[in-house]
Amino acid sequence: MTSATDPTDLTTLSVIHNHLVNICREMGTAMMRTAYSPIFNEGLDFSCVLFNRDGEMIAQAEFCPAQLGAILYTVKWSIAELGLDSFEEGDVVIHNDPYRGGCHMPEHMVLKPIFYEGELFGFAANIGHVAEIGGMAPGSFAATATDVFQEGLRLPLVKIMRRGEYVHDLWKLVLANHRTPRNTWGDFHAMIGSLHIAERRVHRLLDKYGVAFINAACRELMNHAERWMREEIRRMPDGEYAFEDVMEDDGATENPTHFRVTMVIRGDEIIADWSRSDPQARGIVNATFGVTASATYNAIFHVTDKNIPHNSGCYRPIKIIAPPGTCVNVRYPGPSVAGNTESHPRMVDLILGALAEAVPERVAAAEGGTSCNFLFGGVHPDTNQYYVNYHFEGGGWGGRAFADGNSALIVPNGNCRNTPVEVFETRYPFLTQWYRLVQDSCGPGTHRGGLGTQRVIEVLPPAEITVSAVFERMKVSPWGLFGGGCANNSAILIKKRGDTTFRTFKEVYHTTSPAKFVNCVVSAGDQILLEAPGGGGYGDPTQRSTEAVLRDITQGFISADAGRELYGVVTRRVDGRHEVDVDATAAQRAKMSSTAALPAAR
Amino acid sequence: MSYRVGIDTGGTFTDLVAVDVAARRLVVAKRPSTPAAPQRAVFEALDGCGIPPEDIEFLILGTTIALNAVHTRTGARVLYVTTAGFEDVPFIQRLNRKHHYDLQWIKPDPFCERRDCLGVAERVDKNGRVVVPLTDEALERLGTAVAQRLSEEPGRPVAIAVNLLFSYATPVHEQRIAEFLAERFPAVPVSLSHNVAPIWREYERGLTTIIDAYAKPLVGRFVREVDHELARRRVTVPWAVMKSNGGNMLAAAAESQPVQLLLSGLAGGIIAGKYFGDRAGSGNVISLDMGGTSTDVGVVADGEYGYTTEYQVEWGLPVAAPFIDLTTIGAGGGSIAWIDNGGFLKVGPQSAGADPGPACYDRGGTEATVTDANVVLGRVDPRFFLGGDLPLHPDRAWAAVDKIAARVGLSVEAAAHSIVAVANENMADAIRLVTVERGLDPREFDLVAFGGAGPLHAADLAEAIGIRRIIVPPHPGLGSAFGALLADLRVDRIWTHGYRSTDLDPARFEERFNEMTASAVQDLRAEGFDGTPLLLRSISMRYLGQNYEQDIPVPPGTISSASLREVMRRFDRQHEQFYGYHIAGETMEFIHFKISAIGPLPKVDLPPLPSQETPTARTVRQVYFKTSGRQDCPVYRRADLGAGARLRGPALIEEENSVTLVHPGQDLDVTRDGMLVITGIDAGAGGRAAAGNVMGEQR
Amino acid sequence: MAGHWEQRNTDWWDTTVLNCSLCGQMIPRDIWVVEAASETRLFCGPDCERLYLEYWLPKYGASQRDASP
Repeated sequence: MTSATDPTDLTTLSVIHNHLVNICREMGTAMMRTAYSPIFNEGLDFSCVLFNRDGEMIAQAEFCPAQLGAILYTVKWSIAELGLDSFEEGDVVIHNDPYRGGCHMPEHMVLKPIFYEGELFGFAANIGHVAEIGGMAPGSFAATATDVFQEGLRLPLVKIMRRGEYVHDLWKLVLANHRTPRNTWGDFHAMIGSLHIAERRVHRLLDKYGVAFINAACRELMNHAERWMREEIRRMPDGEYAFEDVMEDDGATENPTHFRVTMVIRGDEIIADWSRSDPQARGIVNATFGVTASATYNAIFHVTDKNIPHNSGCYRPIKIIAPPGTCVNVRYPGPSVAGNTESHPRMVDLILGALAEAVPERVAAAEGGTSCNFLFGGVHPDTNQYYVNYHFEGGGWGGRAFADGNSALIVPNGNCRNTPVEVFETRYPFLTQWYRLVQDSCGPGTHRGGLGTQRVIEVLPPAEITVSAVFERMKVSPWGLFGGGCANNSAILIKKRGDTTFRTFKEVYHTTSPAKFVNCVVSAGDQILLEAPGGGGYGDPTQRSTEAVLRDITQGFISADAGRELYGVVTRRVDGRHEVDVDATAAQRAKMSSTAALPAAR
Repeated sequence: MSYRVGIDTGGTFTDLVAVDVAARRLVVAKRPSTPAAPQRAVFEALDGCGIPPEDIEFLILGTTIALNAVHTRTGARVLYVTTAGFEDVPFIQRLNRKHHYDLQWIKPDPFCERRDCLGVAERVDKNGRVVVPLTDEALERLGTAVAQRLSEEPGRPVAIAVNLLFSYATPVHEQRIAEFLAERFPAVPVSLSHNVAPIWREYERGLTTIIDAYAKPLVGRFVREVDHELARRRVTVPWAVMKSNGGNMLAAAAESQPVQLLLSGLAGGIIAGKYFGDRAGSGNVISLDMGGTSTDVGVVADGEYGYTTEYQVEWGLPVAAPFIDLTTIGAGGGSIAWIDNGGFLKVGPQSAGADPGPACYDRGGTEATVTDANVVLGRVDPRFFLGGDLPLHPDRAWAAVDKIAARVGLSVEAAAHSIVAVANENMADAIRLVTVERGLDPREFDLVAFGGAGPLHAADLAEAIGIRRIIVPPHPGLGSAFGALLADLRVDRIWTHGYRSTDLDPARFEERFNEMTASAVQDLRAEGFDGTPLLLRSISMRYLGQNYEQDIPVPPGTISSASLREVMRRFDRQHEQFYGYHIAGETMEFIHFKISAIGPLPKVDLPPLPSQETPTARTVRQVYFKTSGRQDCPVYRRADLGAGARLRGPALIEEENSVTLVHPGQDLDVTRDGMLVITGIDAGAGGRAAAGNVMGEQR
Repeated sequence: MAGHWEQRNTDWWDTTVLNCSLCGQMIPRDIWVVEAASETRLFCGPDCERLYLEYWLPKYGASQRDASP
């Protein structure tokens, strides 16, 4: 053992914090490199954490923000529900219960107690999105579900390994109820394997520093993070800041669901009060408590110092109010599968919108706000193997006080990478016609939003593919701030073989919603268009510098028409190059500021 | 006399190491770099080293000009030619963000403008079959678009990067475009993705090709200027440049593969690390090269360094060519200490660089840097820094560190110690990253320390990580230049084609390996290698369903079902070692087939040191150690130490370009090769990691 | 109002969830029970009871959605 220095010495704390985060990172790297589902290994849709025996999170690695709040609760509540005494060395516990802190049914948490020299030290856990979990539609997104039973196989809190041995009956049960059992097998191994790695590393850390020292250091790290977060909150102006937005439909009905938040800043505490939100929807856009927690912390982390260590301490000054039975805390047996990918970003944007008044320089206008979830499955003609894939797109992010929004990024609840076209076509029977940025999809502003993308894929003969989708932002656009304009909406369209135009799935297949549907069968020659929205604009577009507008036009991000109509910059072509017509621009901008007609800005 | 000369142009200094193999003589020189015209420092070093031109037998350069151009964004205008409909791939990138919670982050620019991304009507599918043929009309349209852009800024260097979808499956369309461009625009350099990086993933391959084109004109200029100057000095031997894969290539070839120069200077360090590890009898070595701005860390495991095709020049900007697996972190002597909003002490990545430099340089810098902390601790002699060429001002160092000390409530010396500790923690992290995250245990490795500051920090680092032996080579400040001398000729080839382990074709694999080998050996011969090449074959593979491959070496001999079964066994073992489990009997996918053809260059032996028993210290100085506070520490000059010399810490061993620190209780031995070997390190408690699980087996 | 702790008492096969009547969190085992004249409220801890009294009631009053389970 090294000679123990003061566990509150800041350098030592920094070193210990580093060690702990590295252990979580290693867990994640192992998962990424060994998992079977692309949502794991390319999408990085998982989180890895370490807890002490009191159920407090002592470290977390940065993989997927969707679970960063939920995992706090799933682990804590699992430990409390089972009781510390029921954990034995070699046990691994699992659940995917949305009502127990989970984000939605595909997210499975595995949890392992770490014993050291016979005593329980703490826990390692991770949450990962398993791509296929049974239920009414392949690919784990039952877009028209009205209860949790249709969404897939729900595991309550159960042991999947007991004293180092497989609990065979549970494995058999799970694998019998997932459509791609091989993938589940591989993904579970990846998740559980990473817990073993965590245990080994924690043992080594304890060998070096001793249990008492590490526990004292972790306590101090949590207190330190709490103090720091309180300091950040104290710097924000006190007040009550309200904002609202809507999920357009819920897959079961065409009714919108309103999400409303009041951010109450009092001294060094924040209350995120979601209680005026609508009662829970009949369909899948409900957020679980886990999603509401994750979204709330996610937004707050975006506007506070990003160096604050993420452990239980930094969450203490934030209180979340989410009454059960509302769309922000769905009650059994309500569905929730879209809450994690669609409602979460909406809720993040809501909080940023609310706080725009308090900390305008730290927020951004609305981002695309939908993952453009596109699920498909079938039997591959080349191999005769059944396959399922969960595909998503990246939209533009909102403009901000000092810069344009980034184009083509994943929604803020994830940090996933896309599947490259070459990998996609190698695995699945599609030909991609194009994949590009969409001109003019950005919300105009002094700083405009980022651009969205458009992809068209064609089914190759002789394949027959079953597709489902969960989209949002097809009707209600990503909004701007401080005079910035709205961005373009999303789209999912189909052009059947022989047709000349793209139409919605509602028109062609008579689904309830054009944005949320399951089990439509497409076949050879059919083309599907997937379009992600842009980001909203920040600030009055007529204040955008003419050089910036000219550059956008030259590079093709916006059209010359948009330059004139939305930004008031008139250009002309000289020898094939664009040039600003200074006088016409002055006149146009003068005209625009007197009429001030912009689409639905906030 | 017949010297092999290695020259490395770093960010701050240009180093020269020359070895006369037969006479066992070593000549070294160091000059400040000339970033505006990097080759000038090369010739200043050459002129200043005292070797007459006719005595030069071989000259090899490591150069950071490509990496600098990338970091400073001063490369050519790139026209990106790709399959129509996919022009935006360099801008869409991979959708992920650098940080999770950072609304300030701006997506990086892919070294080209959107309006310079030109689509060509053509299409090939995953099997290499043509779906949309490439017509003459399409080529004409491309020609018009290119011509129009060339007319816009005459005088500005332009290069073309061609990346068509699935070019790794068939090169035919790219070849046709290359022929068209060569005929229509003969003066414009062209990079082709199937040459630069024939792997799948269109963004990674495309960005790599763009970077290759980006650097082509300036690399070409560099080569021509060096050629010209060498001719002027009547140095007639062909010269080579060091590649990012640790090999070297004749300069004439450099312009055809500029992306291979990105790690040119840096790779030298790890090559030298392997060499010295070898000489010290160790095949497991971590090489650490700590300079003024950054530290490069590499791993040699079982005598081999690792390769990666995931190097990023900047976050989000990947290079998919096989590079030596190096990690560079922003930790160096000039790294600045600062306090974050939570009160934590942090060091770097901002650096004071060489200008204004650390506070003790007295050039206007007021921030405390790692060098300043080392001065406060007494570890660096202010009068002998850089051999006395740069006198340091300790009072400035104390004042700068005092500002930090006041904020964290520590004495100046304790604060200096914390600054060094935090910097060491950053480096320890990098070391953990390259070992532990690859399933390797750093406690089983020796640490080879290079750079001006590496040997000074090595003792602390070894303790922090649990490493038991430190090796400090002679002239550690010149490690990269020495490594350049050691680099063999090396050519890599790769073939991407997915196979399942249930459906292998040993005869086809053997055929393809032989074809690639023949092609690579041909390149080796063109680069002047006459001897018998060393051939390494490996297969990148994974369990069916996984998305990440691991490289598994292929046993020698004709490929057969038996040798492929052995490959699969090796994969299981490696998977177990890295991830703690393997799945018995699981189907695997074989994805990439790789060969490396190596033309080993004659071995270099260092001149032996004269023997000596008892070294004498030059002086004694007060140095601060954590365990004891300030205490007397003998200071030796390295030139005074001979083979067989042995001493016990505390001690400082100073030399012109570096200083080695030995902690109280540690032992130092000097070998015949002139290496300093430090043992007796208090590596702390630790048990061997428990054996992993086999999850596919019944218990 | 005097609160006290009680433990959830459910059968081993019963997977239903109980929620705090202020913040909505699941109560895995230990319930903070507060008995008033007209009703009993279940919270996840005294902090939520406090917040209920000083934040919720003044703002919303007791409401139908807010009733104890």
